[in-house]
Amino acid sequence: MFRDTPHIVVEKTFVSPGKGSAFYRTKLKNIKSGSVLEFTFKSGEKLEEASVEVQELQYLYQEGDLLSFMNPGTYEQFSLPKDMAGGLLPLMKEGEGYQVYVFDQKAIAIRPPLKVFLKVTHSEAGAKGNTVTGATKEVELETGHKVLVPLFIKEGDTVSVNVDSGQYVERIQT
Amino acid sequence: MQEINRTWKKIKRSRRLKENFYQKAKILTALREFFAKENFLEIDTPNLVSAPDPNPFNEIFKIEEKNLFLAPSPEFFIKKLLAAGLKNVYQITKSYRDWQENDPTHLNEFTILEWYRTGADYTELMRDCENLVNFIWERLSLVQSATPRLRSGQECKVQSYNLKLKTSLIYQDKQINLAPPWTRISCKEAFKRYANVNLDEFIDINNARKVCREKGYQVSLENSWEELYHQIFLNEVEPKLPKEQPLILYDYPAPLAALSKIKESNSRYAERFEFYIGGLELGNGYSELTDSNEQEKRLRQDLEIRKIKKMQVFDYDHDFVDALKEGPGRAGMGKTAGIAVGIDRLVMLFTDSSDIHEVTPMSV
Repeated sequence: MFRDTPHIVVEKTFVSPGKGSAFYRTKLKNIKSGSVLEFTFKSGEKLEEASVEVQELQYLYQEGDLLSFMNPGTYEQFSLPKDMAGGLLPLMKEGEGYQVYVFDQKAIAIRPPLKVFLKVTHSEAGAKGNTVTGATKEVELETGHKVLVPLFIKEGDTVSVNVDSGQYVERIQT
Repeated sequence: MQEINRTWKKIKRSRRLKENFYQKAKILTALREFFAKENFLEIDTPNLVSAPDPNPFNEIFKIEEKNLFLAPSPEFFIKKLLAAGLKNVYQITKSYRDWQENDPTHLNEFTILEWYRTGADYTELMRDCENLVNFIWERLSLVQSATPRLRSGQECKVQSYNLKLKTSLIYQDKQINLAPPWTRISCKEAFKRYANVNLDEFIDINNARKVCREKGYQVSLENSWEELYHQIFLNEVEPKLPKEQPLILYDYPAPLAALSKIKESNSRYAERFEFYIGGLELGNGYSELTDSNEQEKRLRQDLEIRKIKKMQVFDYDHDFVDALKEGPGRAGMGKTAGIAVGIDRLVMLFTDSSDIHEVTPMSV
């Protein structure tokens, strides 16, 4: 809890500016608003841990600007503004489980996985590819998201995609 | 250790990492050219020492079985040589500081440049910094852009053209104009302007506690004055320091004097400065403390802080204190200004690297 709002520490660096004094320069992400601020703490400062829990929820569907989730154990439903999904949104698959931060019984953010695995649903047959960028072509994934992949990727293959960059990582042997 | 053994492969694959080696070599050549032009003497001092600088700023590596330490800087030995009568000297060497944490601007083993100008004060060093950085950048710009075009008769024209063009560089997507004079701002002005704090009053610990509490920081009685100072500096001042030009921050509060001389005109401040380029803190310079009694007092204080912080404790360098007392003139070491510059960070600047490991890829 920082300034009465739950924050996630997204970056932390150690600074030692003076005689044995130690500081942590941090980037804190406000879980509710998504905004990021920088703050430097003295080593030893105490903060209350936010009572945010992470629940594994099933993504049901998108309706307007809201994403609907359900806890498959309790059938409890949650909704989350789609903006809070950030770069994960085009990679999200209905029916799939995601880790969601829950605070005060409300879903406040998704803890994005490092990468997701998705099936290639459309690839131009015999595409020559763009040889300037090292022989790649564009394919469509099952969520509708398009990525550049190496030429050997075929329709029906499963590939992993980095959530941060939205880019292809590797082919997954299934 | 596995990771370290594989770094040569990483270098093999990366053109950029290889190129950084060439840039570093050019920077070192330019440095030596600059100091030769200024009639400075390059010297060499030991890295294995029995009584290192006890400044609790960092922990020190010890070789237990020999009771020796890896020097955290060459400063004490250089000053002994100045006391022995050498004048206007510089050294480029490896130094060792145990940071105990990993971060993108510190290395446990790093390359340091120190130079000492005899008879000078810190304002002359500030001008040295401006001249040195611009000299290196000129040399790098010439090598980069003039070489492919060297044809008979063309050389002079091309070079002067480039000299005019290249006073600014790009570091991490920001353009920085290196041309002197650089922005100079005192710690007092910076605290007033960016944090609305009067440093003259803040220097009293009770006032510092009050100000920090009012600003909403956590304050406990165990916090030292320095911690309170740095909490404001790091949160409110440093992020707002101008970055479009190199910046000289000068006249540090007396508790942060380190090995610098207290100002005669105002004992709350010391003749110390740091310079920043593109947010990188590159150098730390002083009008050197030459009073042996005051020096001895500060060494003892540093060792006291080391005890409190549960850091390694050792006897201070009595020979260094003697050197300040005795020579070369009757009045001791005599007026001198000296500065340390982090070479790896300088290479980061000139190679547009955001992480120090990009310029020293084999470091632990």
